[in-house]
Amino acid sequence: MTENKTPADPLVLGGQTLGSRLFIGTGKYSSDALIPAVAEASGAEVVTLALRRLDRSNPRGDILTHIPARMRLLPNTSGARTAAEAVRVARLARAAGCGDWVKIEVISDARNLLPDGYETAKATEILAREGFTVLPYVNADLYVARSLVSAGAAAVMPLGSPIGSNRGLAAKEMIAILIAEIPLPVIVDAGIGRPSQACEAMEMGAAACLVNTAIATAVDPVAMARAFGRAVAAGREACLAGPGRVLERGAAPSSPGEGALTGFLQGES
Amino acid sequence: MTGNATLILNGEEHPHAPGMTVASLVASLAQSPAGVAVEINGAILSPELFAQRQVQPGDTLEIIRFVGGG
Repeated sequence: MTENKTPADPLVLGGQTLGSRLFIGTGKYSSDALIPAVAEASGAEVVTLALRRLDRSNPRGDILTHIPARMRLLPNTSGARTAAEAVRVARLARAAGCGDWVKIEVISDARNLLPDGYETAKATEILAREGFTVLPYVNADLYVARSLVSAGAAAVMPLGSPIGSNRGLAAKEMIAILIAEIPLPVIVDAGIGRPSQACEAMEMGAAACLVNTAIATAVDPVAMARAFGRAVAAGREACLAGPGRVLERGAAPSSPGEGALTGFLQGES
Repeated sequence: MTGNATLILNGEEHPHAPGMTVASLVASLAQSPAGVAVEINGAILSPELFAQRQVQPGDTLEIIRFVGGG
């Protein structure tokens, strides 16, 4: 992405103009050394991170050294089980010097890893008031999404399917409702397993997609990152182009009915 | 606890050394203080204060940094 050129179809979030509508994560890579090439191939401009206790015995080194300087960091609050814990993690992330964007993630159900909408809305309200650009990760629930609008969220990030599952747009109908009803960018986060699913989300009118596991666990993460970047761009372009109509039944020829050499299509229009 | 010579670092007892500062403690754990945040006795400490803030025996510190995540 060229930094000093205004993108044709920008996504504006927290006052930032983004040319790519693919956000990527940095978890689960077999080697963090893959991340610069993944970031480059994806074209993404936003990248998620987590915060953990500093552990001398951790051999992985500093994740920040692998992230291109051009990218906007989006720390998550993973590990938080309550609004208060999410607020604490967000403040620490800001203190670590990586800007004021935060993905609120509040999960207390360890089996299903589903986000707690009530606690998420409470954390969103507190952090938005403190000047954070708050991107809350939630179930695709209309009432939760409305509470996030009131709380000052910059976007709403519904899950496509359970986190890390690569099962795609299981929540498709509910996401479509959010896209229709919520006056904020809807960013599909979690569960997207294939570029075709990211493309579909964008065709539906999603503002962006956040993809981590599907890229990180691919056989070739760099090639998969490129495929996701193209799929998100294609889906966005299709959305703006306006998909054609769907027939409820029957068929309609794509070629003219008149002037056929045989009588096969006579009488069709 | 062995007298007053320890602090709590990331939930575990850690030896306290005379003259210890937050900066020296961070330096003993991380190659660089970049991307590190510190909470001392429940309050976030601004990075520019790491060098001057003495660590006292009995202090509770959380020292965190970024890792890969989604």
